[in-house]
This record gives sequence, structure tokens and C-alpha cells, in this order.
Amino acid sequence: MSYISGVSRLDSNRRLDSASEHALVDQCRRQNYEAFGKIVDAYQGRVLGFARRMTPNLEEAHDVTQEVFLRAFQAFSKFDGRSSLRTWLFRIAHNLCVDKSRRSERAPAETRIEAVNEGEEQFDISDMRWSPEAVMLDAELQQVLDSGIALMSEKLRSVLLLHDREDMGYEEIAQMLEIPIGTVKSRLFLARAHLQQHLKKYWAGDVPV
Amino acid sequence: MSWIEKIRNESALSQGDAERLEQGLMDSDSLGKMVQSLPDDVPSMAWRSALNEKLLAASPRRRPSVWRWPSLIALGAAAALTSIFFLSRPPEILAPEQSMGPEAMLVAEHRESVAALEVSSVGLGMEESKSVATGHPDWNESDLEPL
Repeated sequence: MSYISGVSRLDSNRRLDSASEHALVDQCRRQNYEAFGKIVDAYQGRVLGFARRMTPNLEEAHDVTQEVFLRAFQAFSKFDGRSSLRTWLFRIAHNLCVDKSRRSERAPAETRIEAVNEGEEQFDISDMRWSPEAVMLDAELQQVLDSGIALMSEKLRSVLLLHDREDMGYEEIAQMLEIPIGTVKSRLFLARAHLQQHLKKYWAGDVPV
Repeated sequence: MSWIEKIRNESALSQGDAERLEQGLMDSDSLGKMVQSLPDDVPSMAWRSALNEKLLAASPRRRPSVWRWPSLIALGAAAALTSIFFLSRPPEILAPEQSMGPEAMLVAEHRESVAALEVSSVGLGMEESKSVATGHPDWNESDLEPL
């Protein structure tokens, strides 16, 4: 079975270029409904993807995503532009997801990285039958990755999604989550280690799909 | 405490531990690419439509603003004055025809025509009276003088 086909992800066409985003932001500050609609078009899939992986089910993810855009629209006059629009939207999304999960007391048990001897904790990705090139995953592997992400603690999951999925930098995430950059790196490392263990189990046939 | 324990506890790392962490992140970069390759979510049209409704409801165009109140009050007062004016007017006295039913109107019409005939008596028809009034087109009074 081939896990990966070599098709690059085309993500540039879903992003607004900075000039048009800047113009839209100006219009949105004046509560322009049509301009805000274009911002929703550009970010709805990504915010929904983040919310879906941060909340227990799709229905809640839909609700959270609507709430994100509604709050953003109502508070746009307060958006000062110090952070990017993306960071601002994802901060709202993150806070809402955290509030939701705290209310529903959803705290998955974090998989401990198995005790390792010095030098054994390195990632052995090269054995995992996939190319390190930009890849498109097949449906089964997507499902395994998503289940691995869902089993992480909220703090690891959010850093993994913001860095690896949303391509945010360490500093941007640190500002957004109000944690030190070193902590961002530590959490990202632990999140990837968790995911690697999950994938190893899957390839060993221990993870049902 | 091993460096993994320090990371897990989010403790301060030594220079050597920080370098190991950087190396670990570089080694695991391919996993990051796998996460990045997860497909986008596509919200349904129904979801977007519901969001649009919420945004429209929150839009300032839908909110009644304070400056609109005086004009709304003036409009209401004008409507009230107009209704008072029309309601206070005495009812119009209808002409007899307007108050009659169709049968009564027919009878009245017949009586009028009979009365008109009595006044003018039965005389020339319409065409005859016209020819008398205007004269014959082929001769006039001067033609009759020799007679």
C-alpha cells in the first residue's frame, strides 16, 4: 500500500496577498460586510480545520468557527494591526476552543514519550516509507494522523497545528499563546514525538483505523 | 533529569539540551510536513449561509441608529395627523344617483326621458331636426324667393 502520493499541496491560492488583505482590513474596520465576506472566504477552511482538531466533534467546530468570525467582525475596530490578521483570527479561535474544551472537561491523557536512553530519542523518520518532500497523504493516513493529533493534550496540539499546519513561526506562536519561545519549541518537539509513536503503532498494526 | 524530562516539565534547558532540542526539531521536520499536508476543511454552503445571516444581523446597517429616531417620530406624527383629519371630516352627502340602487336608477332614468318628451313633444327625429337646422345642402332661402 502506498501511503503517500507525490503531489504538492497547493496552499498559495487560498491566501490573500498582503496588499489586498491590508485594503480589506481597512474596510472591515468600518464594518464593511462585503469586505469581511472576502476575509471569511480566505480563512474559513483553515479556521474550521483548526477548530475541528481542537474540539471533540465537527458540530462544535462549526459553531466555534462561526463564533470566531462573528467576534472578529464585531471587534474589528479594535484590531490594531500589530499582529497579522491570521494571528488575530487564530488567537480568537484558540481561546474559544480552549474555553469550550475546559467547559466540556475534555483533557486527553497525554502519551508519555517512552523512557529513552541517551541518544535513542532521535526521530527515525527515514524508516517510515515516505518521502520528506511536500506530500499529499492518502485518506487512511490522514485519519491516523488526525487520531494521533486528537490524542494529544491541548497545549501540544495547538502548538503543532499552529506551527506545522498554519506555518506560524516560533515567535508568532509564543506571542499568541503568551508563552516563552523555548516552551513553544519543547511543546512542538513533544507533539511530533507523540505523533511519531502513534504512526509507529499504526505501521506495526496496533492502531485500528 | 534527562533532557526529555526537562522538556516535558518545561524546565530551563542547558546549552547542550537546547542544541539537542533544535536537532530533534530538525529531524522531525518531515513529520511537520505530513501535518501540513492534511487537507483543508471545506465548510458547507448551509454553514456559510448561517454565518452570513449572523453577520448581517450584527452589521450596523441593521441596527437602528440614534439619528434615525427623530425622522421616525416625525413620520409617525404626520401619519397620525392625517388620519385625524380624515376621520374628523363630516361624511359626504351622496348624490341621489350614488345612493340609488340599479333598479331605482333605471326607473329614474325612464321618468326623466318621459318628462323630456312631454316638454318637447314628439317631433322630428334627430336626423330630421339636423337637416332643418342646417338647411338642405342643394338649395338655400334665396332659391325660394321667386316662389
